[in-house]
Amino acid sequence: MKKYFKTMLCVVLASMTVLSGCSGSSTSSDNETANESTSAVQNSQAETSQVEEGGGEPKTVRINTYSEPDSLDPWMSAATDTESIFLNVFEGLVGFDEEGAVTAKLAKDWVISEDNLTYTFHLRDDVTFHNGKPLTAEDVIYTYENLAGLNGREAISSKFQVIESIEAEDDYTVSMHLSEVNAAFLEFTKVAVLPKDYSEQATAPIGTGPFRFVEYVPGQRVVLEKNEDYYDKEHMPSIDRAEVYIMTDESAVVTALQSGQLDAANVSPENAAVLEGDFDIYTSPQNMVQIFALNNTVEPFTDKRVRQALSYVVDKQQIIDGAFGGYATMLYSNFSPVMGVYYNDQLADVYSVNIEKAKELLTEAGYPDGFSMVIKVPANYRQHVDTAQILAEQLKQVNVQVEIQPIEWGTWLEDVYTNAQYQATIVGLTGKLDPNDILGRYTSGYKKNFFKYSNPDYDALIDKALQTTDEAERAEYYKECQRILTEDAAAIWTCDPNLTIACRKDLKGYTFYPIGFIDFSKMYYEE
Amino acid sequence: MKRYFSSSSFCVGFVLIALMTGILLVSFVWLPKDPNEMDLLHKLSAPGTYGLLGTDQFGRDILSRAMKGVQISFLIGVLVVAFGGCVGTLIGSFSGYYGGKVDEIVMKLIDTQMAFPGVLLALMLIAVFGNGIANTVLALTIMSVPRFARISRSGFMKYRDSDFVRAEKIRGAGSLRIMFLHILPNLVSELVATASLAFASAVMAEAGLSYLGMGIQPPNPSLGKMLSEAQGLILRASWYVLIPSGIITMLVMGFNLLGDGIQEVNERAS
Amino acid sequence: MRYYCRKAGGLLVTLALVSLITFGVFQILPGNPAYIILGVDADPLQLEALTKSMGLDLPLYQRYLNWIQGVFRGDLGQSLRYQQPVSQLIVQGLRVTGGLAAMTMLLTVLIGIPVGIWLAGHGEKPYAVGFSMLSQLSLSIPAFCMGIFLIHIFSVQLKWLPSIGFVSWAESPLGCLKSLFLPSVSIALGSASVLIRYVKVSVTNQQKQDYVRTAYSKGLGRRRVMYGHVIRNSLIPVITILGMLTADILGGSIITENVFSLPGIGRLISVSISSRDLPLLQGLVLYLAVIVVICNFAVDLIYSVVDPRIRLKR
Repeated sequence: MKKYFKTMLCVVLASMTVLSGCSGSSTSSDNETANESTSAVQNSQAETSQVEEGGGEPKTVRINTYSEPDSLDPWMSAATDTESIFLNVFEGLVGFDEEGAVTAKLAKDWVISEDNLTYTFHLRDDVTFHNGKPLTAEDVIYTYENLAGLNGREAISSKFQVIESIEAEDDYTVSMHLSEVNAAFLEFTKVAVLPKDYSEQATAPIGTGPFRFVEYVPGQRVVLEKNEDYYDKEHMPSIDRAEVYIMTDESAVVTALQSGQLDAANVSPENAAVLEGDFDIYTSPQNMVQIFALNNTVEPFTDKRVRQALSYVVDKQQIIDGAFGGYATMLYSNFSPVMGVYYNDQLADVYSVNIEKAKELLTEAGYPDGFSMVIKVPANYRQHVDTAQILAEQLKQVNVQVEIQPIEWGTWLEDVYTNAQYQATIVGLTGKLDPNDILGRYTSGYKKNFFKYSNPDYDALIDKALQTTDEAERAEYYKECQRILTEDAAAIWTCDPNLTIACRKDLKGYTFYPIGFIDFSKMYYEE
Repeated sequence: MKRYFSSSSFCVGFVLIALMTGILLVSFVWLPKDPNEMDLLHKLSAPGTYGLLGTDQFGRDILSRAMKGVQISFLIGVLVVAFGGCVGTLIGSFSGYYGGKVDEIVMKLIDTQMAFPGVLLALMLIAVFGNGIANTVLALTIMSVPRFARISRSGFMKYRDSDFVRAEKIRGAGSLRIMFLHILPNLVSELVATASLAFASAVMAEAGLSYLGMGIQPPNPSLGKMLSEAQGLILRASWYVLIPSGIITMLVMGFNLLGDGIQEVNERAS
Repeated sequence: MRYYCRKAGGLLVTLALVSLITFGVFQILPGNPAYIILGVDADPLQLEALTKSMGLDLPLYQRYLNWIQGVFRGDLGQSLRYQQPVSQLIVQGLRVTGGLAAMTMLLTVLIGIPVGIWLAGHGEKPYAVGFSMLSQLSLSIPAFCMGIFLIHIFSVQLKWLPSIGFVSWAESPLGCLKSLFLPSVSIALGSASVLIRYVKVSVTNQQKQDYVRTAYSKGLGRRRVMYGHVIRNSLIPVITILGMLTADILGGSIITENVFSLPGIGRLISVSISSRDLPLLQGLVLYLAVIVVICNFAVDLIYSVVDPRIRLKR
């Protein structure tokens, strides 16, 4: 018996040594990473080996994402995380730079008519899709007719229904006519241009971008590969291959980074602090707004004074320190300073923490002894749950008793976001380039206005801004909108949490944008 | 009772549970601090520097939270065992005593339930009913029913044809009387062992559910919730993860050993 | 023969109930899959189109019937979340989970049976007691905790084994074993402890049987008695436990696959629950239930072959 057991032990130990032996032999961790990536890229190496790259291994960047892509077809996709990967594959008529300003992309320039109703785009003539087909006006027309529903089928996006007609003046000139002035329209045209009559977008997406789609393995990864025929030689990517791993657990992400299985990762500030020595940490506001939303049609938040009272109680700095490790920008309205010219910087002093004032307001509103409330929080967002716990402690100061109800994301989307069946909630809304997309959420006509905020003056102002093409005047309107929201305390805006990226020390060039975008074309390895 | 102490498993289990019960009792009368009070200036301080076991990511006292967490674990365990035990034993007793069609249907339902891996069923139930102590208890109770039902069913099957039952029948005792006054007492030690094991799996399952983001609502300090919070901070404060996982392990191990010990002694006796 | 027919009939009833329960439970689940897939930035028109394409506008019983008919044709429907056939996703996931389960089972048996036998032979000696406490300890640590500890030791500190992802057998057999080793250890430690206990009890019980005494009195050596009789007889009840452990291991993989980011069945389950992907979840649950039920069925069969008394009892 003893002998049998000993043999068993030997077998187990031996198998462990064999398993560990392979990587144990290569001592430096760099070597190991290289080994790892070779085995991972074997398949594609065969395909790309003829395109020579100055000798040596293909340069791969491996990064993480926390959620599964919603759809590979840009017309079926709405999730920010999906977009941040596929902006490498798809391009629009216009692009945007680090500041969010519109730049030329597939259209080398454009003309807007005097009445602001006709937009004429001149396309580049050297662009090909990833399947080798050249881009022409036909593809642009195909794309926009589908988006706007001009081809007899149903429109794909409600935004584009503002297009009345569209025509090609020649192979590389397209003009669009709008039914009404829309100052945000130029921003809209960053939407992906897709090849005409190609129906496989949902499984094998094809665009014009600097990276081609290689594969998507559900639950595992999305792989992109450098587009060797990219027209813009100046922005030709330096890396050959990008692998985005879908991982739901942050500690798994951190260990993968530490064990050399990822080259860069999106991590929380707490973990970034620990990784700092071995990795480069990049952090930047990401134009997200974390909102402590109070349902304006549910007691006691129907009373503006109650909402204002809570605004006086909430100590945003504590939330930033407690839930975001200090890496966040304090906000005073539903707008991040990342938005530059549109940002109203005069609101910081409207509500500074003042418990006495809050108690006064509550007494005026008829709640001298406080009240109890329920905060529904999406349970999968740890930082929102953390924030809820901090808020619960803060609100105790004015006798407001908080019950925290973590709910699943799916339930949140249905109950809170779609049907507004809630009293209070905490959520982060991701940034948009166009101020109208952000502030429009508070208009009474907006379908998903889950704040249930309604103010005719505000609605009128938003409409006015949309019809004003003068940049400075438009910015003034939006600043005024922010002021109204803050004074009405339509919700309580806490902060814009930073996006924090840990990168291998030799991986450079990670670039932040005002919207989610992992720009692989700017990344490179230092020799 | 005394004979159980001849089993070493029982002894170790008994000591562990006595320790945990001690903590539980102390926590009712005294906690070092308010477990939900935040102190953001002293977050994630190491054990001994600020509070005996340090503080968590909000500067809350970990010792107090752990003690409160033991309360919640016991609450969940006791409720699950009480409800699951009653329902399961009741089902098992009728099914085992009467046999036939009733037994067949009951066994079919139990087989159906056993076909779902435990966590999956709890996940599905919580997805339907929502988070919270009550719903977690409900889900875990449903998970534990078959266990009790199987044990009591086989016990009742064993005794229903035994001599003393026949004697009672001849004396004219009613079925219910026979079942609960004569057969059930014979099964007590087996059921206690099952209860002890079910308690351990309830504590374990709560931790698993919390890891997947379901279960008890914050700021209530359940051990599972503490563990899943600590796990995200393992790099920053590796000792933090050891505290809830250590307590969970001791609780689970205590009850497992106790149950095993009782079973062992029973088997030896039979 | 009647015994087998009855058993097989029972199996079908169980499966039908499982499918009905899964279907039923998810009808009362709040949350529209279309909302979940598209998230907060969805355009109303996109939502409408997606809802329609998912066929969520048909009545309940119609959807259930459609689904069941499909199942018999081997078509489990289309996943709402991934826009791929469910059967294809399950096959992909199975490559991972199947490997994980097989490796876990192997480790469980390799550790559980010898240790169990050894412990039975050494009764209450202090080191044997210590060893069984150790096995109890590994049973009592939550599997995901064990996973996290293992990752920290073997991936982060020692850098011996990868902590995430899956390498398929076709790509690299060694890589495949490496990627599955830690996750299967973290599940196997728990299930091996269960097995150890059962083997120990079973062997101890057999040792007390009359035939053992007879064998000794006939002058057979301890070794002959143990290997020739006791172990063979005591491993029969252990077969049942292996059947039960299959369900445990599959359940354990749900959490462990999340810890190790393995794209297996367990991962698909948590995604399909949170995204309300009913067709996928139904397929997965049905598939899991089939495996568990078939394992139990197989155990019954083996049992009745080994011990004909069971067949005659009913």
